[in-house]
Amino acid sequence: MKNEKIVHALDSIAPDESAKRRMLENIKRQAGFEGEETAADVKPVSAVPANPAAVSAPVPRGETKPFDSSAFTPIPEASFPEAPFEEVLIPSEDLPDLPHASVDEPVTYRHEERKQQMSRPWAIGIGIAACLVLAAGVGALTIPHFLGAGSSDNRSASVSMENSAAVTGNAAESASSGEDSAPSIDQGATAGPDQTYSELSWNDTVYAAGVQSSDQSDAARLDPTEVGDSLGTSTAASLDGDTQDVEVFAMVGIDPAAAVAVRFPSDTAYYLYTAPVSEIS
Amino acid sequence: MASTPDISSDIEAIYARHVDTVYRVAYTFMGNAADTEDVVQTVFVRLIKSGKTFENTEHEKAWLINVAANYCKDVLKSSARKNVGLDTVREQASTQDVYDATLAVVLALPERYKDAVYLYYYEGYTSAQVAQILDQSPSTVRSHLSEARDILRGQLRGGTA
Repeated sequence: MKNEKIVHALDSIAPDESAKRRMLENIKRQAGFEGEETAADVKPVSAVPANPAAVSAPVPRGETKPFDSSAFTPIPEASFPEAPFEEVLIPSEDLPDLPHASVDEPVTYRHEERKQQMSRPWAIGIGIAACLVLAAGVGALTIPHFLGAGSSDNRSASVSMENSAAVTGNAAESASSGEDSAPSIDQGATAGPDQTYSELSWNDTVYAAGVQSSDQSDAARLDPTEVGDSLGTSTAASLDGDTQDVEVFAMVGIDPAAAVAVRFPSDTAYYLYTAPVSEIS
Repeated sequence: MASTPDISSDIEAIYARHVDTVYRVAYTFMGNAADTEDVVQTVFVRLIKSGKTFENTEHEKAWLINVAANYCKDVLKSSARKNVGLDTVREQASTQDVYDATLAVVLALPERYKDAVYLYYYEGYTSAQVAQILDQSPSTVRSHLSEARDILRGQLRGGTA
């Protein structure tokens, strides 16, 4: 074994002088100190007055004293540690787009946020007022409905009142009298067999005929759902010659020439009258 | 007796005394100047920050060698480096700053042998001293030296033949 060869080989491994200096500088930088001067040697500027008299000289009232730089010891430039990192310039196109990054747009975010915070109580108040108004409107629409207002009976009554003032009446044909308050009209009461309800006009006198039964409680009484639109008011005559203003309604799904519904003012019930009826002008 | 009561103020002297040794130890492991310089700097920075005091310069040198060798092993382990073959090292030697075929053979030794070979053959320490510096048992050091000697003998004979 030739130890000399190994020694010679290893002896060839040696850093040159520049490498040694470079490594030493790096070691000092990494260790946190530079050169002979340590951090303890660097003192604040104001703590090293080179000319204490100049610093402490009184200044007359109302006068300003010019700055005397000679009163302070500047910090040696070499005492500042070098930056541990190399400065890297990033191209502007590589920077991400940030909000409010443009100089043309002033940053108003905090101002707008404060405005929003200040306007919140007003917005809450407006919302509450809107809710109250909405609730009042809904109540005004729904409460009368539950109390009975706006029903179909009232609507028909209004029609009847509009036209009842102009009702004219002529003499009735013969009629049989009945004990019921409701009229019991005999089929023979019709004066003109050719007349139909469809030919009636408003305010004509109706000589209703064809009542199926003289008994009001019989089949002549109609279910309100079978009653259609109001045709107007007319006058019904009973067999004993009494007349009453009545309101005539069409029957649902039935030609008014065939049958109509009649409601007497003294009764809220509808009664079936069948055609033909006659008009007495 | 502490020879370096203030490490930071005496770092240049310590550095001047041992930089070549630390550099050689590091080079036997790293195999190139750039990585070796990194190791040297790290070892001396550790010395400064440790605030360690030494009994004498030999103690100081042994500490630096031990730290350098262990740090090189850590670096090589963490960077998942693999031992390259002798042919690769010889090829590097022809183009880099390796001037001797014998050095190439030494650099190609397994890592566990390198520090012991350096200390025993170049620094001239006994196997007992090497064991003390490397914090290993003397028998382990003797075993490593024997195995390394066999490798070197075989490689150098083959390379010179």
